[in-house]
Amino acid sequence: MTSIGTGASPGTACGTARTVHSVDEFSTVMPGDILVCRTTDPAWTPLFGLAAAIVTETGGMLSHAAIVAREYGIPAVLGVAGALHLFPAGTTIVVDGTQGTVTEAPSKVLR
Amino acid sequence: MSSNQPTMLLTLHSIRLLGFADTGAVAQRFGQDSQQVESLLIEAGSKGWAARSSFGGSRGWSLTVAGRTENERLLAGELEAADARAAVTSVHSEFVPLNTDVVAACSQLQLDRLSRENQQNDGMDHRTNQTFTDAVASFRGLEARLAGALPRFSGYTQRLEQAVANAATETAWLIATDRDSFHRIWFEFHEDLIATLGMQR
Repeated sequence: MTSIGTGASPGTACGTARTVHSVDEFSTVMPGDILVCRTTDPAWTPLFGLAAAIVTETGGMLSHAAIVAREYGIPAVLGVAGALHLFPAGTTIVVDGTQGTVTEAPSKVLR
Repeated sequence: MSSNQPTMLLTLHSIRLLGFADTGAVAQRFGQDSQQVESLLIEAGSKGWAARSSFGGSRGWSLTVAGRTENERLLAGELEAADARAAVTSVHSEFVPLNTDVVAACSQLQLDRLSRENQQNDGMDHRTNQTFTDAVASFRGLEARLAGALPRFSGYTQRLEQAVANAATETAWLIATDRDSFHRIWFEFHEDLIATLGMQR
């Protein structure tokens, strides 16, 4: 399954989706995880240093999240409708910040 | 910044604006006494409003969801007491198009940098300097109006001017996340404004 959003920061990363609904769930994010969330604010900036990529439900090319992701040099696909439901925590996904796609990795990639 | 009487409002709001910060930074944000702020932070922790944790090798405070709610409750009370909702709402409506321009300028800088093979971090060119200098000039009046109603909004313009001055020799001062860069200050102000109005992103 592939979802399309705005490729806001280029590059590709594969990792475990970590859905984060609020600051209370920040501690669930491990280095190399892919952060999947609705939106971000300044409190979320440290997570960009841990995550391999970012997927958000809101925002676009011209957003604070896009700027911060580019500064950290990690792929970002923003404005993916329903991302929190489409990519539940633990799913392995591939984020292509150049093409603006998020794809659930086929099981053979996991092995 | 002169020393302010430490309050839970300023302490929680400082964490909100900084995102994740140690006690010293929380106190410094609004010129509060660090020992008194430490006491307020411990109280906030005991009430479930703030949590102290380690993150990326550093230790600091962050707001919990309950802390954001309490922060917004206190901000709403402050806004009402100062009778400032109309003034802040007016500034917000003028800030929105200015924010679009600044975010676009920051994005363009990054995209230009990505398109170059050799990333250099020397000073900004004249056009970039003019763009950000103009943004500060437009922003100055907004801050003055806000600070007239809520003095804690003072200081953003000075920090933005400093960032632009620093960027004359090192463009990282416009967007980098590891310093008080133009975009970090701008992002912080945006958060301050919408938090004060109780708006959601």
